[in-house]
Amino acid sequence: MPMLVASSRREVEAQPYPLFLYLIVPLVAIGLQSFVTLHFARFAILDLPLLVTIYFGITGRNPIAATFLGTVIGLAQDALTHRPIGVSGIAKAVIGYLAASLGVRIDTDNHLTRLLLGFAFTVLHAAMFLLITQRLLGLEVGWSWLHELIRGVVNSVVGVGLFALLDLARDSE
Amino acid sequence: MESFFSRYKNALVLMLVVLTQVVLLAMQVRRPAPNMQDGHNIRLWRYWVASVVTPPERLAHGIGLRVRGVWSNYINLRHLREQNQSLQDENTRLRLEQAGLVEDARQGQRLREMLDFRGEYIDTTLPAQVIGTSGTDQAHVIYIDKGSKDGIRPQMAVITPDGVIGKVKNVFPNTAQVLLISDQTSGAGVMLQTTRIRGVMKGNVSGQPQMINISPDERIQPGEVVLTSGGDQVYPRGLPVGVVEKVVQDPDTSFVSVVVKPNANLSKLEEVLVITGISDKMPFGEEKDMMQSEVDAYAEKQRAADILSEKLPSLRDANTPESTLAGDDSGESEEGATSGGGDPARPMRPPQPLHPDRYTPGAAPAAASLTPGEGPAVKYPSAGTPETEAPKTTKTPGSAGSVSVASDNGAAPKSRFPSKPATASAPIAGASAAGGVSSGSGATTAARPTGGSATAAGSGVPLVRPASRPAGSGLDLPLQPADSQPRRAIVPLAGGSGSTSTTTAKVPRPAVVGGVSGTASSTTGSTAGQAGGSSATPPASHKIAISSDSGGILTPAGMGSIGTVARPKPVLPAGTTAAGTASTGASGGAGTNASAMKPASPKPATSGTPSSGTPTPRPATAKPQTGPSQQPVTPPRPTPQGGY
Repeated sequence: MPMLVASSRREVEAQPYPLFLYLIVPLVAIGLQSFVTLHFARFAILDLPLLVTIYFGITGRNPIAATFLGTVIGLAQDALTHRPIGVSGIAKAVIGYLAASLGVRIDTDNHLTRLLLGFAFTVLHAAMFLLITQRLLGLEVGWSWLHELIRGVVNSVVGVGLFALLDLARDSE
Repeated sequence: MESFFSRYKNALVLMLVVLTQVVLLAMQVRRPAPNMQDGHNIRLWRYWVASVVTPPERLAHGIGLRVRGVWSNYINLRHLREQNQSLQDENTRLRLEQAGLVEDARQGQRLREMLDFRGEYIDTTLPAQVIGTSGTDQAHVIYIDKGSKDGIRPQMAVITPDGVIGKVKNVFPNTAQVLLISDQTSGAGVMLQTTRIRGVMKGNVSGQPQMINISPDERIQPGEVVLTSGGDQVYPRGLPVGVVEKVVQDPDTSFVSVVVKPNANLSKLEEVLVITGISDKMPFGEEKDMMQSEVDAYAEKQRAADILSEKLPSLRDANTPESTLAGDDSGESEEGATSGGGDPARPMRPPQPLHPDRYTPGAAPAAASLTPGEGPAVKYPSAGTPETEAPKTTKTPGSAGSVSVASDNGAAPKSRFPSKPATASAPIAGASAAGGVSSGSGATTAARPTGGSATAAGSGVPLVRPASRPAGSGLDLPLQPADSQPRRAIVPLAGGSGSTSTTTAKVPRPAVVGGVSGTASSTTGSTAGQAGGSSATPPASHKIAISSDSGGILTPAGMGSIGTVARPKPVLPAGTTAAGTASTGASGGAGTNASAMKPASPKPATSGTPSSGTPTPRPATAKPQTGPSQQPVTPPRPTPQGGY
């Protein structure tokens, strides 16, 4: 699919962002996730920190940076819970690595691409979370394929809009 | 080697990061106790994140509260007056309700002190605002705007007015993390209110609290209230948690799980109370509130009583002379004597009768002042001619061992209690006694031994006969056969020496009855002699013949007979006691309830035959034994009477 492949060397390179965005955007995402869920319980189906990790991964195109960014975002998200820290960190570290790796090989500026990537990464993140929680922590996790598919669709749709919003902050050359 | 690391550096970094976090997880999971605090580094990381995330949340929450406050307090004031009134009414209702429960609470406190039980009262609470959550649906925690600086400590219970919601998990200087009861890692000791079944409650995978490891034999119904049991030393005992929603089978074990619907809406929490202090004494504020409720309830009751007394008419009879009003308490007004003083709660006395008679409450003398066999000493001016004198017994001439009992003197109403004959010393003939006794219960017939005392001729004790009684009429029977034909029942008498003599006794009509010693049976006419058997089984050889020289119309027991009255002579068999004689005669009046008959006053046996002494009263249902030598006597027909 030619549309999904980077057309030139320039597009393969990482897109620069202001440094403070790498700090503010994840914190705002985590805080917003915590605050909105308090008033709208259904908002918990959305995972804003995951979307931010995916975005910075596909746009940054640096697997190592995306891995570390995903780890930090995941650990911060675990810190707000009472559970052992590291579950979300492991899952988001993997997601960030994969997002960056794919971003190098395909054109991630396409909205359809972002939609498909958002859906896939969301389902993958849920599967990893289930695996780590059940096997490493020994806790029961309710798994429903339908619920996870719906979660993937919702996150992918919201992600397309969020990605477009964050594109405005991209340094334009 | 360098090319290997440079070629796969991205993957190696990922593996390193993942491995580090796995080790970190293992260090955290490997804690001796699940509720043990996190390690220092872990706690530090949580503190950094909470310090960064919660201030903006608190700011946003505060702005939202102010905006809502301005809107609801200054702009949106519709229905405020109605809301205020409804809140006041609810407050009043709750106070009255509390007043009704305060007595039980006081009693519980006293009992607790007596048994040296340690009570648990919520002493101090700290209100807090909920400012955030974990953000995920896998961890059920909330953040409040109070921290260690406000006195919050780990393991403090957090509640709402609706019920329990959780406990404090982690505490930071300005914020605290509260673990909800719907989380899988939570745990609370709970019990059912009705069945008192205890269990541990924790959240399931769906985020619903449930009691786990419940025996399937327990009968648990949906709708049962769930309370905290206090066994976990975190939640005070008796706090509401929720209600039972359903019972599900645990797929892994043979136990069942009880899904509980919490009273508090865990998804819409705004304000909570943190229990910061627990004491075994009731807090001052609560005590004051209870006292206020008692005062309000008393005042309300007084108002209700005043309103009621104004509306209800007085129950006092205006024609009742004031002297008849029993003055009970000094200072009571006469109007209040019967109406209770206008207070509906006070007992009302019955109005005084215009024409008191012996049935007037209080007219009868106390039982302790009466002597068995004596007639009542009370005279009733407006009544008939009460029998106040004891019937006299006369000796029946020519009948050894026979006893004649003075008959009734007619129209004079019978006293309930048998009058003590002047010379009564002998047992009375059964028939005559029965005349006085047979009426039984309410019988108006006096259980007079008629003829009062009669003595067996054999004993030589003189028989006493009332002067008014015609000779030959020995029985004092309340009821006489209408045909006025004396009926003679031959009842053999056994003398002390074993000789027997028979006398005839008029068989009264009868009714009732019962047994011996004061009771008469319907067949007592024939069993007069036996009745004489009184407390003991009458000797089979006793025969009593009661004769009467005149007939008469049966009259209700106690009222004597109308017209000529046949007064059969009661013939007391030797050894027959008065009680025994009293039990015969049956006349008691038709319909007399034998079981309620009073026993005749027992008379000592005066015959030569050994008596059984003071007869012991027999139960009314006991029937006197009929001796084989006794002639059967046709029981007289009962006369329908108005009363017993």
